[in-house]
Amino acid sequence: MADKAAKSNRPKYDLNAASRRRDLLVRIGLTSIVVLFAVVLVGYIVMSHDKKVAASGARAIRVTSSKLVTKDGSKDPKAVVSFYEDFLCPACGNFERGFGPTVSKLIDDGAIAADYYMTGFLSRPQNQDYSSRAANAAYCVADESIDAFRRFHTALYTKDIQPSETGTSFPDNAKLTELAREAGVVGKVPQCIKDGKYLPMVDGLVASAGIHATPTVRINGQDYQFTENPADFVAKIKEIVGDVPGIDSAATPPAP
Amino acid sequence: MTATAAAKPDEPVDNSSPQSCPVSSASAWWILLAGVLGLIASATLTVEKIEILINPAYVPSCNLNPVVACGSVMTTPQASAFGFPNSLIGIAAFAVVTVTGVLTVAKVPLPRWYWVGMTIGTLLGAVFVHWLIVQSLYRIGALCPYCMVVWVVTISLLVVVASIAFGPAGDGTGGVVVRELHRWRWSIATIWFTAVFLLIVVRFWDYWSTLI
Repeated sequence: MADKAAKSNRPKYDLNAASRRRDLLVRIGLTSIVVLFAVVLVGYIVMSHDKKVAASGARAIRVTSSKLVTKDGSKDPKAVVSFYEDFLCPACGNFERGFGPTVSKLIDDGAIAADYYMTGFLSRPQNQDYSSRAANAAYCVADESIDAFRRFHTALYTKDIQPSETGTSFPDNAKLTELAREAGVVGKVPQCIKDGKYLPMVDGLVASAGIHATPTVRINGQDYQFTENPADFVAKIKEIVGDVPGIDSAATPPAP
Repeated sequence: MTATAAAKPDEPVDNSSPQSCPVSSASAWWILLAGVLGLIASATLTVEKIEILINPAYVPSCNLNPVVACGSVMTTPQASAFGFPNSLIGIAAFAVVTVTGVLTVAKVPLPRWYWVGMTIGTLLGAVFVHWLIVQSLYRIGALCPYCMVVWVVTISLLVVVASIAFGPAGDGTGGVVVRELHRWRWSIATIWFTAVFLLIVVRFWDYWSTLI
């Protein structure tokens, strides 16, 4: 817009047409160089900052079962599946409603150890920082009981409870505390939610985990592009852990 | 004298008349366009504000995603900086700009003092707009599309109006600084817009990177 106006708004001193055009070209050229330089520089800084994957500070909620398949001679699980999610993101809701039952079954069968990283990815003042508050609450619940976390996590992604990303009302801390209670924990949870104990960690999680989108799924640290079909995911896990009892029936069709 | 000058806007203009300023037709049309755009944006914001007041659950037309949203921006204290909605100032101010645009397009000569006044008014507007940019980016954390139209319109209008009011100084009467400032004004404006654009990119990178 500014450039267009620049062309028609020639300076009014006495130059002949040729030198006026040259003057204009010089100005456009120099301006373009400065603009390009600024864009490239800032782009480079932003991108390289993005790539600095410092895993420090990122805390996972690990969900396993006693049947967990481990590497020979160690206690390390054969398959660690990391889920980077945001309680507000609609894609995470779809993912959890579609894949949740399958993932749950794989955990219970001992095929995988699931690491949940609940981020404050979409947290904004206009959604009342719901992402961060809900993620904080999830860590609070996990501190008390992993089983309660699983129920809490599932509940927050149900269509009834997950708020719309562009909506105007979001569950407040009292509601989150109530949902935690329904998931079966009280203990220190209300205070933990109120204090926002994990808020700084949750807000830094996107940067420290180096993710660009939620949900991001990693299998043993490698990004995994999940498909629509939970059976593909099960097949991939089977490649890693082998024929764990029950794994063939793990793929659960998405709930309607 | 002035009529001749205005009639041939692309010719080097005779500034011998101290009473009026020459305006190129591009500038004239830009002022008119800026006035109309600003007026539409301000009017829309005012109407949306009224809708929100009538129905607090109303979702404004510009709520596109968590970053680009005007509903959340309009309900902040910054959106009523002087105790009433900012968009009301916009309606009054851009009405003046529109009228000025119509007059200049119609080649009605306006006195120098009028352009100086316009420049002062636009400068105040530009200062206010920059305060709003800072608030929008770093306090509110959202971008409202109609407000951004006003940002662009106000800043570019300042360049046009100031060059009309102080343009004759570019002929060498106002010192080398003013002359070079006048010569490079669109370069400065372009770089300025680029800077604001980059600030927006950096500020909301977490969100933009999810869209790539």
